Amino acid sequence: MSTFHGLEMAKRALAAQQAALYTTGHNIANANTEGYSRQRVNLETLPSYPASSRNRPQIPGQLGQGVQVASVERIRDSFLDAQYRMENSKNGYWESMAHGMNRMESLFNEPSETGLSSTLDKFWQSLQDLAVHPDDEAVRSVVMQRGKTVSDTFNDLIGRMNRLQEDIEVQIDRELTNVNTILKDIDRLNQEIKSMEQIGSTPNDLYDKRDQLIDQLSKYVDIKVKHVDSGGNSAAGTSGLVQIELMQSNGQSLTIIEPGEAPAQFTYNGTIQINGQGTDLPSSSGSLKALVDLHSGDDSISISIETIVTTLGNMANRFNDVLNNIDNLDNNFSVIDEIRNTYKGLIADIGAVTQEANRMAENTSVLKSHVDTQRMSVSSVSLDEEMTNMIKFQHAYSAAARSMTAMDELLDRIINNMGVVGR
Amino acid sequence: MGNYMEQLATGKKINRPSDDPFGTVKAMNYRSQLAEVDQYKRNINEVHHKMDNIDAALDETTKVLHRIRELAVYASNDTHDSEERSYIKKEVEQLREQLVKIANTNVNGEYIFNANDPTSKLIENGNYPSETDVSGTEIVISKGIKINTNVNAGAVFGTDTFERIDNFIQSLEPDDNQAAISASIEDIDHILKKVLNERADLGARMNRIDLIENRLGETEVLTTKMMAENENIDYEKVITQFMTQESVHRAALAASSRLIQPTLLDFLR
Repeated sequence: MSTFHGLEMAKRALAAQQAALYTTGHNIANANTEGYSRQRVNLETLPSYPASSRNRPQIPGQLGQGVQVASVERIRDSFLDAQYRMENSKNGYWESMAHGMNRMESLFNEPSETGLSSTLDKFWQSLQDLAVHPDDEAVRSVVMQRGKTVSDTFNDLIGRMNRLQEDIEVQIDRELTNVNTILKDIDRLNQEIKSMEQIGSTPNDLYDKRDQLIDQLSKYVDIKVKHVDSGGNSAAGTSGLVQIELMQSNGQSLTIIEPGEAPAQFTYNGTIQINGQGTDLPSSSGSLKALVDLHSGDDSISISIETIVTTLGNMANRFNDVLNNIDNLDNNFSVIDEIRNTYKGLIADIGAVTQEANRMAENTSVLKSHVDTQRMSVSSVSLDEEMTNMIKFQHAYSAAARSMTAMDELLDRIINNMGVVGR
Repeated sequence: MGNYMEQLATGKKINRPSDDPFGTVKAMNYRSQLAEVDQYKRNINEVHHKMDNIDAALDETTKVLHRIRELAVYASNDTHDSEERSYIKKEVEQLREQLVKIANTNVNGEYIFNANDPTSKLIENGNYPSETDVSGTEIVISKGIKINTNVNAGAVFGTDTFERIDNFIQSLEPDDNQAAISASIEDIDHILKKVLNERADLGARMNRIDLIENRLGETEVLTTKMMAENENIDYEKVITQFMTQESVHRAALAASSRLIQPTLLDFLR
């Protein structure tokens, strides 16, 4: 036992409580930081003296050696993280879908007095007049005029749908750029974390950043996250490196982040491609899939602009037949009826899909915020708790300082006041 | 709350297809149906107009034929001399011209008795229609219901009719031909019966059209009612819901404000 054993022990106590105070201060400072998970200092006792050995001193009992900081750990529930990412992916899909469908149905402007349905009705009325007065030039010119109005309405609708399609392509490009940036960032973080972990540190703040990026990624595509050990001299309790896989609709998974390899590149030219190979995203997850479905997908649960434009085009062609063949009245009436029914069916389909998308968007949003609340109740900073901890560590620090004063007086007595008999 | 505000502002439950997809299709159907009913009413007006004119013309025809018959009865009196018979003959010739004019009646640019070709006269250059020429234009006055708007002009103004009248005119020649004149009376009766037939047929058709017109009126009222029920909001209900939602909103805000405030910091020194 050294003379300065007590001083050393008090010194260690001061350092440990200081570290705990610093961590508490870090937590309080980051109380409002997005994606931050609170950190906790794990204190543990040093191994007692003496250790078991042949030449140990024969003192009664074992003396403790004080406290040390074992680790600074991040409070995070990875199960809740996985749940959140799943809900986020679904919510991303339905919100994108609802947004796109709402825009689409507003372009049709039904039910109203000015939509395509009313225009067709007016044309039908003029055809009836022609049936009553087949030789009246005035009636004939009314028919041609109204027919032109219907054609114009068709062209207008198809034009707007095409423009909407182009808008969606722009959106897809933008989202893919985001995805590629996020993948590069995650890869970079992986490398930084690797170099930190291999020397034995636990880079908690880097973990937070990486988790945040993965959360953002999950909104765009449905992903599965695996953790891989860094190797080297990594301490226990490190998160390791992240490997991200993309789920595809055929059940197979595609690795988009592999530690040590370059991250995957997303591109678009008609279909989503990863590293140049076309891929089929699973249904109802990720906002990218929603945009692709809206553009030209043929999923049974959605309606794509491609389908709508094709249907409208067919209707317009049949209408042109009517216009070119005005006097074939019986046939014309049945063709007009057919066109009206097809159109009503189309509107009903669009309305139903939009209603469903709105409902699901709200639904998944509720679920997502539920999981998020649970996540935050585990990981976010509670100022009350940190205040209490701060008081704890503050008192401990003061007490440790006091014990150091006591040791100091002991030594003072020994050094300055012993062996001065008679002096 | 925003949803209720929109409903109050537009007065309609269905502002876009996704509010109620099936309701939207119903709304479009009701509108189409109303447009159809409107058109059918227009058609029926046209038909009424035409058939009224035909009826009036046939009425005039009947009067003319009655007059000819009167003259025939008068002429069959043996006591008249050839001079009186020549006066009768002149009048009958005039009445014959009148019949031709009636046959060529033109209403609104259409020769109403010429079913095959309304742009040209029925009787022109001495050409009379035959009795078997019965095709007429059919006009749709309700879904799947077509009505023939013409009469068989060939029966009334055909070769047969004018032959008989011409026979009568000839029988008024200076030579007294009592047998021929008596035969003519029967001839004219024959023609009158044909005219009566056509008028009866026309009358029956007009009754039918009246019934259909009534039914269309009822359909219009019903469809308008159903369209309103489908789309329009019940103002009292929506306003009540809106105010309830507003109170809930206020209560939530008040509760939040009480939850947010106190922290431990307030209680430490």
